[in-house]
Amino acid sequence: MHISEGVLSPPVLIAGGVLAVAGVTAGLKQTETDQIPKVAVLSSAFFVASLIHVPVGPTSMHLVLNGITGLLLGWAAFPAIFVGLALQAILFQFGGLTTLGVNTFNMAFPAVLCFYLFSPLLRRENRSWNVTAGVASGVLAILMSALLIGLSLVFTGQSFLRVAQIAVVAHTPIMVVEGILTGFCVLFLKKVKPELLVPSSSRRRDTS
Amino acid sequence: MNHKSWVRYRHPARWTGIFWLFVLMLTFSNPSWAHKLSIFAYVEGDRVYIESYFANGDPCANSPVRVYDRSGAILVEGQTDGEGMFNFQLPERDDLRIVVEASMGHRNEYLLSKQEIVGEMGSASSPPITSPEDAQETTRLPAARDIEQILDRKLAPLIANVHEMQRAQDRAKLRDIIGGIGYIVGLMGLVMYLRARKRDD
Repeated sequence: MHISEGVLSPPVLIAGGVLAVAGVTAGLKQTETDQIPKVAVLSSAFFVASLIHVPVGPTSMHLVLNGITGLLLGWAAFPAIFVGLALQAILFQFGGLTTLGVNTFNMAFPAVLCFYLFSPLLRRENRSWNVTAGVASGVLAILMSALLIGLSLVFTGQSFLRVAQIAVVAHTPIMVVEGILTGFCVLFLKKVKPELLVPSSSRRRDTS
Repeated sequence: MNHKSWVRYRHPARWTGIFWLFVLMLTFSNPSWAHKLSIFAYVEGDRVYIESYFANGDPCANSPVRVYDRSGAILVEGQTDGEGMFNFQLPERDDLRIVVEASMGHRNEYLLSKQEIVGEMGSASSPPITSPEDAQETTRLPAARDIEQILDRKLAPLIANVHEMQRAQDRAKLRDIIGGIGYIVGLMGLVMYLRARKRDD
């Protein structure tokens, strides 16, 4: 999921950086102050998720959790994922500082798309729709991120179809895992704290 | 409008569930790194040996290896074997940049400095002492090649130990995880502080 330093060409890095800055700005603008702890908690979850390994056959994959991040945060997923990735780069040497922009966009943009596609389903009082929204976000966020990685690597001279194919195939197991995990997460939150599923950007600040 | 309302977050309890989920995740996470690629290279005789492995200790198998000289020209190209190992004839006595690339944008490089190479080459090719006045001595002293063999044998476990230590160091440390979360909490505080100040103005 994380593209390392020195793989991408400068134009791709700059494009990624610009898109990431735009996303982070939009995210910060749309986040009410009382929602910031929520952003921080999901950022922490995202930060730690990459250390959680799911054994898949001979290798292992790590969780990404961008689906649930997007579903709960909307545009605020950009700052949350940006901070998570920056810390992963500094502390764990995952990805890198020059690729921070590209990696942020690759993981946060699908998260925001999932938010627009599936968060309306979360408000329905129908459990199967809620779970569907969760599973679909978990799967699609990873799928779209894998495709974006393929797209980023095209400019290094590798053929898109081949890279995208490798990326999608490699991430299929984690799509399944995240789909199930996100589904359960949504179900759990709907039961325990349904107000959490109301996205930060559409909620007005409480002034009690 | 009460300007302090954001401080009194009305239901702190709503976070406890997530907090415990988080603790659960930490407990079950195995403390290994994702896909950070590590490379280790050393010279033995006139060959360079490369070991590459992922952060969790898995070898980086069947991955392309490229060796560049100082000017960036490719000297050697090859592929790691099933154990993430690769070796090649030393092409020249100068700085070498060794790049291993795994799939999907995982890549790292190792700089093998001239000193390391020359030091190793020197010991391998230094001729035995031949000056006539020392001839007597030479016969009694073990030849340089013998000394080197003995050293190699004695140092092998030590070198293995160093490799093992390097691997251990590359594994995730709980300290870093906790530190990272600390940074996030700090950032959260900072953002909220700045916003509160803006509102007060």
